[in-house]
Amino acid sequence: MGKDFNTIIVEKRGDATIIRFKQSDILDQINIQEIGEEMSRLVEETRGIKLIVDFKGVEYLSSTVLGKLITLKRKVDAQSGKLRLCNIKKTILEVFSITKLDTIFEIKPTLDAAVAGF
Amino acid sequence: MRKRKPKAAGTITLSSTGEIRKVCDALLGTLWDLKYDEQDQFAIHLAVDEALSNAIVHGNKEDPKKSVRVDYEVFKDRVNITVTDEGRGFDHKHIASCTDPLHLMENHGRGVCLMQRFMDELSFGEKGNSVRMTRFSGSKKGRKESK
Repeated sequence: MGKDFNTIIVEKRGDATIIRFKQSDILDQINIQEIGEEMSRLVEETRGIKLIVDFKGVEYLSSTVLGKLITLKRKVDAQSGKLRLCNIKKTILEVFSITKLDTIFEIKPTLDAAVAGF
Repeated sequence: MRKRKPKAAGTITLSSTGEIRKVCDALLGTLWDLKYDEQDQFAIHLAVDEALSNAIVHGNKEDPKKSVRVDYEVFKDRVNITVTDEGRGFDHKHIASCTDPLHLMENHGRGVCLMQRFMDELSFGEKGNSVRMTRFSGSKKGRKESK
């Protein structure tokens, strides 16, 4: 599964599909377009996906990334899937809180917590 | 009263969103040298990123022949940044709230909201094609305990 993607690493843990970012420290205009396309492609290929986006190692993200996550959520919902986010750094979590996107996304503190109950 | 001299100051110009990271890196390098903490650096990075993105995409309509100018002054206790594009300006007096439930699932429209929440001072030029921002070192804005 991981061989098909340039910007994301995909692995399975039980029923859950986990995405990590290959170049994880900064997510911004330079890399987010391709990342968004690859995440969308993964979702479109997998009906009912139980998807976890793991932000481990991500130090910074711009609001463009939030837009891509919203697009991703729409696609997951349309495919009757579920989406969780995890390992979000405190400063970035504040961005989700300020924009009230923490009310839209299911956010877990760790990967284990995100996998549990999926 | 004598005006204080900044520790660092300059002007950078850019034309595409692909150059934003380079500009932010240059600014962050200066902040690092002047020992601004991680949260100040994150806040300034985010606000500048959003301002530049708006200027290039909405202000200059991504016209590669148009430039965005970034003027910055870094003092020990504050950072002043002005971003100016060559566009016609926008109506900054009527900006939709990014936390309005009707707009929550929009793919865009959070830039100004984030600038307001992470910078201590934010003002727009009369024409609407420039934004001036200030963050004070150690500011509580954008920190978890901030209201």
